[in-house]
Amino acid sequence: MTRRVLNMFLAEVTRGMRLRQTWAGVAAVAVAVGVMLARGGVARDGRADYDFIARAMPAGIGLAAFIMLLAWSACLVAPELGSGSIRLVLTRPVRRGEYVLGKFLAAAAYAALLALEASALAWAAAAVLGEITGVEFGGELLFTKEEMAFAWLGGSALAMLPLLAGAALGLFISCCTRSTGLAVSAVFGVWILLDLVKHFLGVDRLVFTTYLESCWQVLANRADGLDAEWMPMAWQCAGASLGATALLLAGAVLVMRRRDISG
Amino acid sequence: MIAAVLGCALAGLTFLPPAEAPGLWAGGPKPLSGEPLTNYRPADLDGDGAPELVFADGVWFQRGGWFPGEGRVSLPEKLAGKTLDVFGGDLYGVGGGRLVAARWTGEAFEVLLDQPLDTPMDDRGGVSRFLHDLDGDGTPEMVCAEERGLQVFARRGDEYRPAGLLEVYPDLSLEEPPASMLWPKPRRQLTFPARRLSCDVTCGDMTVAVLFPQPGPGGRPAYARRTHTLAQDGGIYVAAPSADVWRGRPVEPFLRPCRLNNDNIPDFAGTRLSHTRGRVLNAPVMECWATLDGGKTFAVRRSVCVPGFRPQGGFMDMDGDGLADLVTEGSPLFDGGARETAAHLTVRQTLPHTVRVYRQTPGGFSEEPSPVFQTELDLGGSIWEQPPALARYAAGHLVSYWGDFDGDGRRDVMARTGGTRVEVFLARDGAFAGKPDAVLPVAEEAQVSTADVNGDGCWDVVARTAGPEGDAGQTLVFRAARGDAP
Repeated sequence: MTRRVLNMFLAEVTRGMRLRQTWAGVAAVAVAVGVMLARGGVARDGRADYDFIARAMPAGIGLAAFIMLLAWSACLVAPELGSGSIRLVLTRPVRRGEYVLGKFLAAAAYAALLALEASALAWAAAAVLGEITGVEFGGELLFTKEEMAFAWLGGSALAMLPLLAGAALGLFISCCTRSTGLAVSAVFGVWILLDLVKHFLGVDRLVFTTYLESCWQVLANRADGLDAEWMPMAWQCAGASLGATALLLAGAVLVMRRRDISG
Repeated sequence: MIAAVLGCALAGLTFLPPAEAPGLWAGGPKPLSGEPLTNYRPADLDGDGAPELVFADGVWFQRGGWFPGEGRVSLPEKLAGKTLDVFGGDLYGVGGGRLVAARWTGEAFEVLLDQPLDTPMDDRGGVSRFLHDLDGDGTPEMVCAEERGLQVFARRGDEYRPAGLLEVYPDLSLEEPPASMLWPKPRRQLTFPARRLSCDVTCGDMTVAVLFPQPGPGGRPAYARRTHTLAQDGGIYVAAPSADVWRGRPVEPFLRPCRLNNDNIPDFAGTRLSHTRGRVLNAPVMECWATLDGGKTFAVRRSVCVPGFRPQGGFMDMDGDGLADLVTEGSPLFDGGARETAAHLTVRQTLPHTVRVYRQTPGGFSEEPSPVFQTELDLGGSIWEQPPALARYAAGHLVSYWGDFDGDGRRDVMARTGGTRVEVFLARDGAFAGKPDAVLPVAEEAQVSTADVNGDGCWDVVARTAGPEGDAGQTLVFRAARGDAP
């Protein structure tokens, strides 16, 4: 099974490399980081520039990458269902569940690519144009370089979890419809609806979109010389995101198994 | 009401049913000390070990842990309207060119002293502090600040007489002159710089210490302290000219001298407003600065606040070890990022609030906060609607952390988590309780504060409702009792 899923994943990656929307996502993330850079504040002035990184990460990963990933993953299955090419794909020795898993792995890889790009751009800009030192206030070293790097690593790891949930959401909706346009509109509609009602219903902590930016709170706070605790945000983020990922992925597999793809 | 009080008892912290205390007022803590601001002075006037409350116009005597109506007496006529101070259980009043002292005999005030005395004190009335036992003989001297120095009045026989002028003030310093305009001639304004004198004076034990700022580089004052030894020459106090001088480094202008520990080095502390840089939405940051070594090194602890928020505390001894700890207040409202913050502001009625305590140790202030207190305050409306409770929150009236309600020496937290709901969270074993130890019902419009009104070591909750114009309103005191109380 692993081999078949891997083959499906590699085929999807090869296909994705040829898609324009893949590179549109890469460009969108670069623009988001560039906008944060244009807001200023990065300079060789003896002050650490983690604040720029802390601004660029949520903008690049939590917003630009998430939006592009939602659209990208919504286009994974629906076009093949609509055109009927899925029947050709499934003539290969691959089960429908493995087909969905391969697609999800491709979306996860795309999320990782965008996150890596945002991180690389932000760190490169901070290192070249600014300074990467410890965070000091009043002559007192509050956080060392290593502590800041750890905060970034932790934030990056946590930031991947809502992205994975977003990819699963896009994939699930993509499995439910044959229209690409409908899939993309539906996935953004669900996101907006979730964000609108979660605070009213008091379930915001259970919804993975809540953690798109808050996973960077430790890095942002430390960059400003503020104390910040990983808990309970980290386990809430992990619980909500992994739970949503598992549910949506299972839903996508279930929908695909029961789906009539004959035409 | 009864159910609420019973609930308090079940939770382990007992509050007695509220008692009326018309005219009593308690506010936030004094800056950099943690003592509550009140309109009374506690002092034991009848020698029973329980303090009385000395107001500007009367005295409330304590009977059985409270101040019953029959124990509230007016000041004797000779003390009325005078500026009051208490020493050794005797009440002193000065004003109108006279000094009066009186003692409570159990039935009434007996006037001990009534003499003319020309002092430089303003006839402001109220309760102040002008009595100091300079020579440690058990009889207080009067020390009044005047233009040239400190005027001392000492008791000689049956009356107080002038006993020396201590010329210990620092030199006047020139203020930064305002901009002058020479031309055009009709608009010519020549302004001359004013001269200013600012100092803190501490006296006692035959010494007078004067701490004063001197102009430093970049507008940063450098403080110096001169300690004068006092001597008596024919009954006249004289300050020795050769003074012990301590000179500090220039410090930021927002820092004020204070005492944060028990060493002999002046400490400096203060707060200033800044803003975040590492967020898409810039949020205000309250910076608490403190130095324990006269300005060589600083501890800076920062917290993100809601715009307009002004914390009331800052530095106080939270764990009862005699060292003032650094306390920050703020809100994690902005931690969720721009989208979540905007959604919270428009939808939610609650505001998260965090209190962090950075303990002082002999090595300085701890880097990690402990304990940390977090709660959600119900403002009764969306934050963007700016409900009345938001103004109270911004003024620092909703969360108080300077009261010790169970008398264990550690300061606890009182939070007004709802319009009519006050919750008390006790500090235990280095952490604040997660659930309230007591819940008190208060009027929606009441201003709630805390003070140890009856001086039993357990702080009480004071709920004051302002009445219509010209009306004193109503003040209710919820007395905290120790665990074995009914």
